[in-house]
Amino acid sequence: MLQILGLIAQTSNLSPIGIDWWIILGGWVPGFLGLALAFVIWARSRRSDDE
Amino acid sequence: MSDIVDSALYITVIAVYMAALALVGWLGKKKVRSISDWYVGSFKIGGIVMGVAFFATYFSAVLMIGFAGSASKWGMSATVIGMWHAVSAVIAFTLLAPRISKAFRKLNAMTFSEFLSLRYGSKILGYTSALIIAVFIIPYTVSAFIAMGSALSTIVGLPFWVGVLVAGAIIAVYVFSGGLFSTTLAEFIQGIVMTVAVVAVWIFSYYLLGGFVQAHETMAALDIGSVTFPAFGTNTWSVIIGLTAVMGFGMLAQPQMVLRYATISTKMDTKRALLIATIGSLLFPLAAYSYGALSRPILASFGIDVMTLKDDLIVPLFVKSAFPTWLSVLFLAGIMCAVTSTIDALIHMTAGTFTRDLIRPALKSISDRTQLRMTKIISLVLSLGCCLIAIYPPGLIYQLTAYTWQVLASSFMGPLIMALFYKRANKYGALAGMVVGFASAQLWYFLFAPPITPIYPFFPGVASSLIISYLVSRFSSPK
Repeated sequence: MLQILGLIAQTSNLSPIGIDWWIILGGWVPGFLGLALAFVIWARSRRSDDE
Repeated sequence: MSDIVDSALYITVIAVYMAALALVGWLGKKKVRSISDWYVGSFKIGGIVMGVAFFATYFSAVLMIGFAGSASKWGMSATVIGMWHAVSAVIAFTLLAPRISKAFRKLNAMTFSEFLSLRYGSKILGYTSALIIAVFIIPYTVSAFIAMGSALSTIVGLPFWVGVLVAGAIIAVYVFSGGLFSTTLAEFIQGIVMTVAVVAVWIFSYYLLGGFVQAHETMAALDIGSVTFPAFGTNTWSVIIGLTAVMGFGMLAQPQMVLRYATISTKMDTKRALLIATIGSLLFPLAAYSYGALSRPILASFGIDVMTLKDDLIVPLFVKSAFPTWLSVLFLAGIMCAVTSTIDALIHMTAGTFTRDLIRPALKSISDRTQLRMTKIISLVLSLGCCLIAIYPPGLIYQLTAYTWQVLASSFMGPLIMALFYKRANKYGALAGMVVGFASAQLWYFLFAPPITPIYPFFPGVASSLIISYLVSRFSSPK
């Protein structure tokens, strides 16, 4: 019974792409935010260089 | 017959690769005119080259074979470890790289230990850090050789020890000749090849499982735990959280990485390197951890249960069993690039540390020419020594790597961060932080490391290194 409840609890965490939301929120979101920040810093430095 | 053709193809790829790197070594040799050229590329390494060299050094076959193989057992939660690498790259290039680059030039430091020694005005600090680097970088170097041996033995069919020696020979050829110019130029090419290889395997793995969402559904059907985050306090949970911290934030105080971003040429180049390094630090580990996790259902369709295999053999077996020859060849090329790009950085740094920070002070007077020659010979001896240890693997790849990174991060995080951000930091604080961080990580490793508690030695080690460095500097009289 406990095993079944555990399975249901885990399954309900799955996102529409079939991966746990915790994986997406705890890893993928920070990773892509880091990439976005790197892009903004690089773009701003290019603009200030042009000016 | 097709096996013979395949083997011939693999061996041709290895031969072409060795020839290409020998050429890089020769080109680098022409540029080495002074000792500064060999050690730090005269601080003239460009941003794009440095960005690629950064993640080529950061990630290696240790990730492609070792960590990805372990990820086949951990599932998609392993991608969390990889995604935080991008965050670490941003921190490295925005907060640390500009200050480190400036400080290295100002002090005219050529190695990490020399930087600490000059910044704090303490020779003991230089010797201690050099000794820690020289001893504890070895398990990491060995783990990269093991990855090469596993790949060549399973994919090509060569004996394991031959694979290890091939890696040693490749490294010796071009690190010996060209120093940092050669290693950085080679890492630029290697970084591109290994990224293409890893991404190709990643995409092909999803293709084999019928697409992005379908693949995750197949994994869930096999084991729901392979698409969910592990429950709090379990062994897999502590591994994922521990490795996210060790491999992500532990990287910031790794001497070989510090030396990479210390050598960038201009402010604009730092920004370019930031973008390239972050893209690579996101894409490469995401792809590697994902195909590692995806290998479990794919190998299951061949009747192979990964849970019964040694972690380090899973990915080579996966590539050999599930992929067409062209992709196996590409992957093999990627592995060779990944192995050599990391080992060259480690050998280059450790040989430099041995000569400049340990042998040179002991010999009192030594000419630059002799010092350069000695560094090259030590790099050869180190390659050979690590090869010999790797022939009889002392542990799993991810365990050896995590151990090294924890020891180095725990020893150097406090002295490095205080050197850059705390003006009152002094030699007493730095030395105390280094010794206490090192000792607490070692103690925790032997007494409380998982599975005894869910906490990795990295956490107490780095925390004590930072706190002790600050407190002792704060309350001891400045020099």
